[in-house]
Amino acid sequence: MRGMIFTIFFSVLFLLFLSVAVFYERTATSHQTSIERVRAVDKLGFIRYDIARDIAVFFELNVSASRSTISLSNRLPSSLADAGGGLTSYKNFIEGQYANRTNANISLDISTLSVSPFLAFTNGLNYSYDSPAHSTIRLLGNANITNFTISMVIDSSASGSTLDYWDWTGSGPACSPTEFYFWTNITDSSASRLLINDTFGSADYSGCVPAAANYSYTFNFAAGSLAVSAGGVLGTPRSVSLTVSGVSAPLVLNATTNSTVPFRAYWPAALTVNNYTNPTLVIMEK
Amino acid sequence: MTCRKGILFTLDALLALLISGLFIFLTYQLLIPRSTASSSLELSRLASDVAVTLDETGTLAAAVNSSSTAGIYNFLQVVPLSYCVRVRIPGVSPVTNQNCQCSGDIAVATRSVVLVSSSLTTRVASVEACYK
Repeated sequence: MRGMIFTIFFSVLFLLFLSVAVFYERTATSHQTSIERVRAVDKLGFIRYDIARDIAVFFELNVSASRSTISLSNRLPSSLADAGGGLTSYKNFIEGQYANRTNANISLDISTLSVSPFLAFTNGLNYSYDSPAHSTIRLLGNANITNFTISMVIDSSASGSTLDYWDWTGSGPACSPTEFYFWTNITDSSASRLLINDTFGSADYSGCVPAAANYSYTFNFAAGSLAVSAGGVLGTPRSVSLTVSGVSAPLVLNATTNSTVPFRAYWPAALTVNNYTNPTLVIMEK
Repeated sequence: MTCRKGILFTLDALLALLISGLFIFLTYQLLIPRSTASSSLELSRLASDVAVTLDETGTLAAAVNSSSTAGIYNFLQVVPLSYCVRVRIPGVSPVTNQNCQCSGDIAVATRSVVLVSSSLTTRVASVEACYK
């Protein structure tokens, strides 16, 4: 009788230990799986961000934002002799050499970028190019835009101007609600700052511009031209467009908004890493 | 006599309990090195951070462009001495933060480097990190 009690007791004890061991083992396996999942998520995010930054480098674009100002530094046009071919070769690099080194199966869809590239902002702004060679850039604005400033140093000397004009309706940044303030600092290769004629025959480099009407001006240079449009561009009020032809220049374009809503900026390129697909590549979050 | 037997059985059972508990605990610790897994993750993140910083500051691109590794070396000097970090870029000499031997896991982060001039240059840079 006593022997039977001992047998039962130790059997129960053994089962107890067995269940504790199984519990430990499962906890450990689950922990290891969690670590591997964290690694996988880390890796996906890392690859996605890496490619988003590369695309910005490809377009020679640097984007930054403070509380209310979005700053875009760019070069017009592309330094690449064959920008379209360069984009295809970048895609091949990512899907081949880079994918092999990261031990991932990567597919990068650049169909939009190779035809009509743009950087979209979730606050409604849209920074677009005419092509990967980007001789034209446009920043399509929204109702929150109060101020645009552009700085450029053209690599050619100015050779006069056309008779296009700007209807400056004010001389300071305090514009009416239906206008926005536009400020230019465009210099030619001899460091002469270029002015824009207004309807009254005087010239200035800044002023208030009506939000919806399209105002454009073409600066002529010895080697080519720079066309500037502000106001309604492609039907979007409070926008700006710049087109270079035969000349090149670094550009700094600042857009000031009175909105402080957080936003993200992303490329319209779809990335698939293994089985994970993301239709946009986020380049910055503010 | 019966009482002694009971004490012996009790002691025996307690001993068995102790040994079994010790066995399970040690087995768990040996098979699942929790701290190693976490530190391996930490190494991965260190390698990623170094790679991202070098890329976003343009240091990797500058090294590819000029074959000079001074910028990378200068940055690696701020990495804590308990880590060994090595940066490799094809066509550029490898750079380490110090002469050291790795003990244990090595984490590797890769980063693409893109250079735009009249033609496009692409490289894959890798950053290896380990504990000294």
